[in-house]
Amino acid sequence: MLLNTPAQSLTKTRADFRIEEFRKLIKQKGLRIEWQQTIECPCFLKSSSSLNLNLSGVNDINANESGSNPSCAACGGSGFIRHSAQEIKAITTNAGGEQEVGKYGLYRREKIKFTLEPEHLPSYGDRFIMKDSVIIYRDKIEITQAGSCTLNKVPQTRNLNLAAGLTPVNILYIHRSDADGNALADGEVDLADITLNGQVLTFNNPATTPVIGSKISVAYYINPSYVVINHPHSIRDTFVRKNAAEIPSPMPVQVECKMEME
Amino acid sequence: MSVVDLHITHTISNGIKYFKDNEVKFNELFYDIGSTLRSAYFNKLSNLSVSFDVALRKKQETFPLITVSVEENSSDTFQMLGNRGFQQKLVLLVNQTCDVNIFVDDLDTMRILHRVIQASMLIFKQNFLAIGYLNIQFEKASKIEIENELTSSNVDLYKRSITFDAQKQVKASEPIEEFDGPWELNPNIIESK
Repeated sequence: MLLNTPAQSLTKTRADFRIEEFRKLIKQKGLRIEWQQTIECPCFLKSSSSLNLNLSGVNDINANESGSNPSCAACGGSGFIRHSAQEIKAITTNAGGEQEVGKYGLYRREKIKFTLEPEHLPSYGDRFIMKDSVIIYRDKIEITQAGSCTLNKVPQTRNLNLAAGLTPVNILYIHRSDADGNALADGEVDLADITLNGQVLTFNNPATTPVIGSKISVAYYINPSYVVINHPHSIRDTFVRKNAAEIPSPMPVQVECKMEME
Repeated sequence: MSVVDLHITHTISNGIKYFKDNEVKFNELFYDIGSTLRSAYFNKLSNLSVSFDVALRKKQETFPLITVSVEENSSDTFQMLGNRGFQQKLVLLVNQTCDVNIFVDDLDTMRILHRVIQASMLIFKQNFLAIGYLNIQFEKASKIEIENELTSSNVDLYKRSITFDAQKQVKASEPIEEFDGPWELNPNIIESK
């Protein structure tokens, strides 16, 4: 049965979504985000050369499984490749979470929502790195070479409005141990005695340079990064009346993301 | 809290280093796959920076992550020696069920670590016996699951627990105190006649 509904005049004024206004909001007030899109890696394992499995003379074919190749140069065996990395703007809302301790240790279980222009339609697993925001990361590094070490994350600099004026800060605190595993009572490293180049921390004062085999604790700023886990409004499209015609128009999209532990 | 989790954590850490440093032994361990895949697995292991910790530590680690948690129990069947008097020691026999929890973000790493951990516990078994463990043996490996609480840059995190069972004697000496008085029950109890 065909269920036709009555004809309706479309000439009267009604509320239309004005995408320009929303774009203005995103471009003016949105935060800068590095958006990395995600796709499954096309790599695979060849059963003939990989598994050493003798199938009694049967002409061996590949299993067509979705497994990835552990030596794949593109994905490293993770099965995902990231592509089209670009900086966009997004309105961020509902950021919040809690610190939890489990068998895995400490985890900052945190979620956030990003509202994006319609052209920046993300999909599951896409990665967002917030370029204008920081959180504090507490690292613990083993010293394996003389005079320097590499931090586990990429430190970021924030200009703090201090009494002395705007002050760029990236590292907040460093404490040393000895090579026997004891934190030194006077183990604080003066931040004036270090230089930071990318993730490499160099110690310039021989008196406070940590020895090989010791560890240091370091607190520093990092950009929080998130992956898409949820589409609270998976479809957002509408029709906008223009020149007496109903024009299909995509609307801003929103996704929910979870903070990465790594 | 027991110390077996510390013993296992350090054992596995050294076992992984042993196989990283010794491709011949690694190849012996993965004798049942083709050389192409075996070489890829060895390269993957060589480039892994594995984090180790005991469970519930208040420290954020990076992946792959291996943590160890322990459940301890005793069996009445095995407590005959436990009540009194084994070489003037009080002895408690305990079974320590140790979960080696592996958190990784790709399945091949899970395959590698699974076997390397089992092998590490094998090759260092004598060292456990030498410091007083009565036995330590593989019990089971759980199925691989998604760890829903965590998210990594590779989106999903996989977890698996490999369980080992350690038997250990907990010994304690009584305080040295000569017993020279008459047999006396608790004076607060009125002895029935």
